[in-house]
Amino acid sequence: MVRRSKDSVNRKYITLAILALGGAGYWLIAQHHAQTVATSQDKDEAETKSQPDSTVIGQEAAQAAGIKVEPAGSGTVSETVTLSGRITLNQNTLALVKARFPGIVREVRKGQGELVDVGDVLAMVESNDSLQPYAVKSPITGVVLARNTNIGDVAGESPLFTIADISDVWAEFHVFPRDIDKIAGGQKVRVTSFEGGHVGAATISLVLPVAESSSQTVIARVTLPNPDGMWRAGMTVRGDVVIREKQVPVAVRTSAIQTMEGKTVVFVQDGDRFAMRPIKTGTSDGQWTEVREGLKPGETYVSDNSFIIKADIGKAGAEEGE
Amino acid sequence: MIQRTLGFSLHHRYLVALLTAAVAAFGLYSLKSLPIDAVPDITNVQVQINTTAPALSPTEIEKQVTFPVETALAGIPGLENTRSISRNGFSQVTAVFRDDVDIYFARAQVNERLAEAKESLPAGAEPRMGAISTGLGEIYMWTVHYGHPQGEGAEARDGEPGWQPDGSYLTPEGERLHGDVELASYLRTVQDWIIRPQLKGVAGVAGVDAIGGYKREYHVQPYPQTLVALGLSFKDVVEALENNNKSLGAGYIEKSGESYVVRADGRIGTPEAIGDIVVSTRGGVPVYMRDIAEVGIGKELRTGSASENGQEVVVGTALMLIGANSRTVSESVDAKLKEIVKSLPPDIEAKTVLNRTTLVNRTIGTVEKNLTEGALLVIAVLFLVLGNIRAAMITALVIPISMLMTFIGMIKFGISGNLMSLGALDFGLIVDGAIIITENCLHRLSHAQAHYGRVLSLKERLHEVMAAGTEIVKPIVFGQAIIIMVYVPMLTFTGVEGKMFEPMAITVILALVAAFVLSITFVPAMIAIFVTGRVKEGEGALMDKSKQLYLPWLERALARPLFTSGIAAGLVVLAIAAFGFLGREFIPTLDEKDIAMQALRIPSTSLTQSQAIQFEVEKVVSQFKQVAFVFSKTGTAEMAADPMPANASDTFIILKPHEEWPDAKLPKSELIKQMEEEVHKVPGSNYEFTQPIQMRFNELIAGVRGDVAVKVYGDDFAAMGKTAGAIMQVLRNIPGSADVKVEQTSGLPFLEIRLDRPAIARYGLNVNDVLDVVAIAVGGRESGLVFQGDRRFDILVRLPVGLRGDLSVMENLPILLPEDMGVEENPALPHSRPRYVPLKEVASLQLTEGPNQISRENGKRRMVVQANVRGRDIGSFVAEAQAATDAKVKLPAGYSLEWGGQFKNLKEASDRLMVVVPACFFFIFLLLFAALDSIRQALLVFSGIPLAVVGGVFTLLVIGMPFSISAGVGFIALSGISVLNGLVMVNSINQLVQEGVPADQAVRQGTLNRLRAMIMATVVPSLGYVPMALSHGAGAEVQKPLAIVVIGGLIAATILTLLIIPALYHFFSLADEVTNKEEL
Repeated sequence: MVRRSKDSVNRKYITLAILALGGAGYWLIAQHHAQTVATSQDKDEAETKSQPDSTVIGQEAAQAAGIKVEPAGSGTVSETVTLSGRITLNQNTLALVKARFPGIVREVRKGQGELVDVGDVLAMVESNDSLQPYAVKSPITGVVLARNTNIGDVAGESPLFTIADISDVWAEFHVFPRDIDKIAGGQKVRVTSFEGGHVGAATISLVLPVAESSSQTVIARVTLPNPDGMWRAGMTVRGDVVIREKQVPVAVRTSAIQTMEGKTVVFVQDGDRFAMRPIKTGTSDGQWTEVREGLKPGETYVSDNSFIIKADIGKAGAEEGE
Repeated sequence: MIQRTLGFSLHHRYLVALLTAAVAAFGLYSLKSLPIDAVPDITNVQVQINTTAPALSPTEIEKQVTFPVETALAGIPGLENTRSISRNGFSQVTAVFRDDVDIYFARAQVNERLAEAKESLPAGAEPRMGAISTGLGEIYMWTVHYGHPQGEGAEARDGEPGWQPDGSYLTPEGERLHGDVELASYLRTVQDWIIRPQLKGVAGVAGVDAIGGYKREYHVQPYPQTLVALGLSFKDVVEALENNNKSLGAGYIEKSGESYVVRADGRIGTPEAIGDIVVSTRGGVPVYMRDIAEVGIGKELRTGSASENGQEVVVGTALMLIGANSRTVSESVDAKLKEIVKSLPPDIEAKTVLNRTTLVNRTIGTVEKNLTEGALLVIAVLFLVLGNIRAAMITALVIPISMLMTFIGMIKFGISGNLMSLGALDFGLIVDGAIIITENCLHRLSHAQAHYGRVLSLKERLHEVMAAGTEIVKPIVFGQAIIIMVYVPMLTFTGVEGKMFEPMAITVILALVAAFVLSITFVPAMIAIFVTGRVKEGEGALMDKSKQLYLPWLERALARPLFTSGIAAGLVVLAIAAFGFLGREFIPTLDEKDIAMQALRIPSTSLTQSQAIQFEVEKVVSQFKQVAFVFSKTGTAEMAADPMPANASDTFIILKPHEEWPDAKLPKSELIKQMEEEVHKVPGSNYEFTQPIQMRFNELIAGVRGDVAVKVYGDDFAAMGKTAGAIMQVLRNIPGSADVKVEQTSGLPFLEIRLDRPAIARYGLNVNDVLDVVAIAVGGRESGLVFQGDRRFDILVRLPVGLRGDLSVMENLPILLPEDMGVEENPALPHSRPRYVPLKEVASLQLTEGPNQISRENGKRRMVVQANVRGRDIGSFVAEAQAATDAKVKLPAGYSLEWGGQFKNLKEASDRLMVVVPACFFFIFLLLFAALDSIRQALLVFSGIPLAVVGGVFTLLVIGMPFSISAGVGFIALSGISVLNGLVMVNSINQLVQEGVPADQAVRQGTLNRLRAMIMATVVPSLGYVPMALSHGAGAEVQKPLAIVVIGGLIAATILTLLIIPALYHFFSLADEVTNKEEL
C-alpha cells in the first residue's frame, strides 16, 4: 500500500510534467510563428543613418555617367534682364517733307522705297502764289517711306513725303515696374528678332521720363545700327539687358550647382572621391555663377551631370515613396 | 452510422468502386479548371480609383480630386477603409472592402458614387477604376522593340516600309519617322493599336497595361513671342484647333425616291492639316497655325518609361482577371501574341519576357514528380510490409483518388492550387487511416484463414473485413477528427496570414476528409473484391526482424518506466531549448529563377534622368554571361496599378538556364552578390534584390512595413511633421527600437508660381487668364483628336520643348492684356501700351521643395513614423512607447495618433492563438476522452505531441534549415499523426484488457499487434516524402522543410511512442481503468 501511494505521487508529477511540456511545445510553435512574421520584415529595412557628404565613383563609371569636371577659376558674370519690345523708326532722323508753298504738284520724281540723298529733288510743285514751279528737295539722305502725293494733287499742309534715315533704328522696350529700377541708360543690350534670326548689340540710349498709365510701363530706347536694313520698324524683338557685369575671382558653371539639405552646393573632386561643398553664391547668369565663399580657385568641381553625384550621395536615403 | 456505411460499402462493393471511379473522373475534370498559380493571391477585396489631372500639384490633387472621391466613397456598404495618395498630377484612392464583399458589387457601388463625384472634379479629370485584377495579376509581359535599334545592320530598302537608307523608318502607313522620340512613339503606337486591342479579347485578361515609348501626340507648339506680336493668346490657338476639327452628321435628304445620307467631315487626319488651320486674320492676311507654331509628333510628358538591354522599348503587361487560372490565361495570351507577332510592321518585334506559365509549370512539375515518386515508394513499402501487392495497390490508390476529390472541394471553396495549398498536402497523413484499416483486414483475414485452414468463402471474407473495420474504426474516426482539429487554429488567421494559410488548412482538411471517407468505403470494398485467394500474413522477414529488435527494448522500457520517460522528457526539454537556435524565415522563398532588382534614386530625380541612369545599370547587368536579357520599368505604367515614382525602376533580370552558365555550379545568391557589386559602381542608385513575384508579394504584405507604425493624422503638414519628429525622438530613446524613421514626404522640387492678385487686377486680368497660360504652356492643353483609321491621337498645345526648361522664358511668358482698358491714349506720350504683360509681373516664380506625395487614410492626412523592434518583445515596447509619447508629445488640437503596424497583426494573431490553441487542445483532449473513456489514458496519448516535436527540431538543426511556416505545418501534421498512433496503440491494449487478458500481457501483446501498423504509419509517409526532401526542382524550397520535419519527426516520434506509451500505460496501471469500468 505504501509503495503504491509513493508510486501515485510520482505518477502525478510525471503526468503534470508531460502536460506542461506538451503545452510549452505548442505554445512555442505558436509564438514562433508570430516572431517569424516580425523577423522577416526586418530584412527590408535599411538602417537610417545620417547622410554622408561624399561618395566614391570610379573613373570609368563617372565617364559612363557623363560626369565632367573643370577647375574653378575667375570669370565674367553678367546679370541680365529680358525685355520685349518693337523696332520703331528713329524719330530723330525722320523727315516729313512738306510743300513750302501750297500749289499743284506737277511732277513726282521719287517713289516709295527709293533711296534719296540730301538735295535730291523729290517733286516739283507749282506755287499758287507765283505760279512758278519749284523743287521740293530731300532734307536728308534716306529712304522714301511714304509718298502721299501724285501729279495733280494740291499740295497743302500735309506732308508729301516721309523720308527716314534707317541706317539706325530705335528699339523700344517696355520695361515693366519690377525691372524699372534695374534699367538705366548706357547698359548693354543684346537685341534678338523673335525667331532668333537677327542679333544686334547696342546700348540703352535713354529711359523715357514718362510711364504709360494703364500698364505702368516705361520705354527704354535703344538706338540700333541697321546697316543692312534687316531691322524693320514694327518687328517684335527681345532684348537681353546686361544690368551688371563683373569680373569675379571664382566662378562656376551654373549647371554645377545643386541644392542639398537646403544648402547650395557644388561637388569637389579629389581623385575618385566627390565631396559635397556648400558655397555662397553671388551674381549669376544662365551660364556662370559667382562663388563668394566655399570654393578656392583651381579646385576641381563637377561641371556637368552634377545631379548624378547628388543622387549618389543621397541614395542611402532613397526609398520608394510608397 | 459508420458501421452501416461499412456494411453498405461491403454489400454494394462494386457500386462503391464504380462511384469512386466516377468521383475520381470528376476530380480529374476539376483539376483542369482548377486555378493554378505559384503562390496564393493575398490581395484583399479592393477597388482602385485612379485620376489623372496633369496640371495639378500634389496639394491641389488632394484638394480637388482625392478629397471629393474619398467623400463620395464614404459609407458604401462593406467598405472597410479608404486610403489614398496624391501625387503630382495623379490621385489614387484605394477602397478596401471586407473580404466577403463581391468584387463586382463593390465596383458597381464605387462606380455609382463616382458618377456623383464627377461633378465636383476639375475639368478633364476623369476618375477610372483599376483593372479587375490583383497585385499578382501581372502574368505575362512582353517588350515591343525594333529588331535592329536605330536601323543598325538592318537591310534598308528605299521606299519600302522598314528602315530607310538615311536611317529613318518608314511605317506601313506611309509616315517617315526620324529621331529617337518618333521611333519610340511608333513602338507605343504598335503596342496601343495593334497588340493591345487583340490581347484584350483573350478570355481571362482583365486589362493590358503599357509603359514606355511615347504615346503618340500631335503637338502644336506656339512661340510665345510670335503670339504676342500677333496679339494672340494660347487660348486662341486652342479654340482655333477645336473649331476646325469637327465632324457632324446632317441626317439624310430624299431625292428621286432615294435617300442620301449627308456627311460633313471636317476632321483633321494629318499633322499637315493641323498646320493649315487658320488661327486668325490680320489685315485680311490669314495667320496659319504653321506660321505661329511648330506642328508635329511630340514628346509625351510621360510618367513612365521602359528599357531593355540599354535600349528604349515598350513593355506590355497582361493583367489576369481576379480568380482566373493563371496558367491557362498566360498560355492563351502567349498563343495570341505569337499570332500577332506575324502581322507586326517590318523589323518590329514583340518578345515575351515573362510568362507565368513557365514558372507554374516548373513548380507544378516538381510537385507532380515528387508525388509520383513518393507514391511509387509508398506502394513498394506497403508491399514489403503487407506482403500483399493487391492490398498495397488499394492503399496507394487512396492517395490519387483523395487528391482528386480534394480538387473538387477546392473548386467549390474557390481555392487555387499553389505551392502553399498543394505543398502542404501530406499524403502520409492521407493514407494513414487506409493503412490501418488494410492492415487490420489482412491481419483478420490471414488469421481466419489460418483458423479455418482454407481459403475463405465470400461470406466469410465479408464478415472478416467487416469485423476488422468495426474493430479499428473507432480510433480512426477519432484520430482523423484529432488531426483535423490540429489544423483548425490555422483557420482563425485573418488578413494576409489568413489568405495564405486558410486555403492551405482547408485543402489539408478536405484531403483528410476525402481520405477518411475512402478508407471506410472504398478501401474495404476493394479489399472485399480483390483480396481473394490465400492471404498470408505478410509479416515476413522484415517484421520478424523489427519485432526481434523491438522486444528487448520494450522489456527494458517496461522495467524502467520512469527512466525511459525521463529520457523522453529530457529530449523534449532539449528540443525546446534547441528550438531557440533555429533560424527563422516567414515562408521559404520560392526560387523563381529570375531576379527582380529595384533601383531607387532620390525623390527629386526626373524620369529622363532616372531612365538615363537605368540604361547604364542595364548595360552593366547584361554584361553578365548568366543573364539572358534584362528589362526594366521606370515610373508609373499607364494603368497605374502600382504607382511608382519616377525615381524608382523595377529591373527584371532574366537568367539563362543554369546549364548555360560559365560555371553551372555558381549559386544564384553568389551571382546576385557579384551583380550587386557591379551595379553599385553605377552612381546614383540604391538597389534591392528580390524576384518578380516575390517583389509584388512583399509589396502586398508590407503595407506599412515596420513592426510598429505610429500614424499621425492631421491637417497641416508642418504641424504633422513636427509631431512625427517628436514621436521619432521618443521612439529612438526607447530601448529595443531600431530603424526609426519618418515617412519621406517632401523632397520634390517645385517651381512655385505665386500669383500677385493686386497686380493681376491692375492689368485688368483674371487669375484664370494667368493660370491658363501657365497650364497650357507647361503642361499642355488637349485640343481635340486626330483620327487615323481606328487609331486616335491627341492634339496638344504646349510650349516648345526647348523653351520649357528655361526659367527666364517661363518668367517672361506673355499674358495677353484685354483690348480696351478704358484708358485714353495720351497723345502727348510717344508710345502705345504693350499688348501683353510678362508672367513675372503678375506672379513670382520660386524654386522650392514641397510634398512629393500626400498620403491619406480614412479621409485624413497621414504621416507615419515607423520603427522595428529588436531584442525585446513588441508588446512591452509598444506599451512603453505609448506611455512615453503620451507624456512627452503634445498633439495639436484636432490631431490624432494611431498605433498600428505589424505589431497589431501579430498581437491580434497571437491573442487569437492564445485562445484558439488551448481550445483546440481541449477539444482534442475531449475527443481522446470520448474515445478512451479515461482521463488518464487520454493524457497519456496526449503526451505524444511533445514527443512529435523532438525529432523535427533536431532534424532541422542538423540540416541547418530555418524554422518557417512550412516547417510549422510539418509540426502540426506530426502532432496529428503522433496522437493517432498513440490512440491506436492504447485502443489495442484496452481491447485485449477487455477480452480479459491480464494487464501485463495485454500491454505487450497489444503493442506487438500494432507494431506493423505503427511502422507502416511511420515508414510510409517518411519514404513518401523522401523525393520531396531531396528535390531540387522549382518550388522544392517551399516543400522541403515540411518533408524534412515530417521524416525526422515521425521516426523519432514513433520510436518514442512505441516505448513510452506501453511503459507509462503499464506504470500507471491504466488497465485498471478499463477493468474498473467493466466492474461498474
